[in-house]
Amino acid sequence: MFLRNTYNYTMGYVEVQVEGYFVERFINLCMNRNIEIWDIKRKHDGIIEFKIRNCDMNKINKIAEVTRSNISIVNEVGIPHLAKKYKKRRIFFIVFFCAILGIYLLSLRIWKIEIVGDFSIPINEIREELIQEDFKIGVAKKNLDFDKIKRNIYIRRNDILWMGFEIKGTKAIVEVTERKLPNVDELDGVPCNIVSDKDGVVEKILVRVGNKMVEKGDVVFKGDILVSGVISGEKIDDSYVSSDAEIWLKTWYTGKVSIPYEKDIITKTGKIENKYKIKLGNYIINLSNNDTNFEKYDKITNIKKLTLFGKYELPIELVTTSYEEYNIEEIKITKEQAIAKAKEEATVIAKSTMTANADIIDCDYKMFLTETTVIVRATIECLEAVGVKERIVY
Amino acid sequence: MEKGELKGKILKALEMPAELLNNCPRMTSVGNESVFIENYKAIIEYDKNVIRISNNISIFGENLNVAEITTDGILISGKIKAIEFES
Repeated sequence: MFLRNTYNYTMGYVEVQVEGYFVERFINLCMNRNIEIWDIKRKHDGIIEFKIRNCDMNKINKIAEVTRSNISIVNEVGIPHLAKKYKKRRIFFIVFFCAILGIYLLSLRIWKIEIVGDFSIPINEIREELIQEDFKIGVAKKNLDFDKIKRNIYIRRNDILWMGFEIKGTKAIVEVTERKLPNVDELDGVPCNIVSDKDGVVEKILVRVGNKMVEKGDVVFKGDILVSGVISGEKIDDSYVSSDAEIWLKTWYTGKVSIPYEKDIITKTGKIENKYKIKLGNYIINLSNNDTNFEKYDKITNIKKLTLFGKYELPIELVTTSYEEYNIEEIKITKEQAIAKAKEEATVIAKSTMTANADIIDCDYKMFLTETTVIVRATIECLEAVGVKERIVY
Repeated sequence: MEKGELKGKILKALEMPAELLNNCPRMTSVGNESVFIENYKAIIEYDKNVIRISNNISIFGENLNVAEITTDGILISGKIKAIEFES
């Protein structure tokens, strides 16, 4: 049944109405001449409706003549009729199928390459490596041989540990894992000096390899050689070693703060006056009196541009000016309070200049008192390990 | 012995279906919804309430339709009330 329906639909069939006195004879004649009809329905007296294949249509015209009945087509169903109906729109269908074909052809290629992963290699370098392997935007998917690309890149790049490829539609996702090379000390085994990277006084010096240049208590500045890699003697030639030592310096950090005894403190009274204006291009329309009664005030102007549908700006602006009244109070603090506050702030400033690994030994304050202010200078004494290796050029 | 008698005897001996013998119609009905008649000759009357077929068979019912018709058989669907044989 299903197969027959499908066949009939693809070949096309017609719903026909036959009107006449001898409809029974009409059906019998159809049978005699092997014309297949189905779904016969009786409408009224002398009217029947049935379905017939396209190809049999001209045959029943003769039968209609014999039986003296009228044939009228009610409905035409099937693909041939659809084709006839849409013949005028064939350009549309051609373009439609071309578009689908175009989308299909475009989907065979890669249009976006995304490189993901946690790595410190510049992304452009990875992109160039991929381009060298012909893996670039617009490449056909079937031409990609990921194993080959991976192999060649692994050979060229030492710092890429693993690459993963994934294709999602027209997007290729390349995952890169970097090989973290062990952090070798470049100057290990190379003749070098140890120089100071801080100003300070030598507190402790312990030399494993090298020639000690400073003693405990010496003042050193940034860049001074603390341990030399050149070992020389009177009877032997100079020899060069890679110095190794631990040096601890006493360093100082300072911070200076001045605090006045008298201070103005601004408090807002909470009274607010709002004034409104409308700005039309260059014209300003005041909606309220612009003067304020406040003696001391903050003036805050807020301009709101009116928009149409939240997108298109109109040349109308609503200007709101609010005056907020405030009072100025003069407060006085005692000498002790000022000193305590200044000490605290100076310590914070001094600490902010310190290096992270320094140990605080002592904290010293110096105070200068004037008539209006107190000035405090905080000095933090620290102990910290210093020393940077520097290659000897000879 | 007549010609038909011999044919009948042969068919009986071979256990062949009876409708082959004298071209009488064979009817298959599914409840009262449809009747399939094989070996019919022609439609004599076709109405909503009655369909008369040439082998003196009348089918009475309501909203009778000929769902399928071929040279071999005719399928009548609708609410069938009676099948009558006239002789």
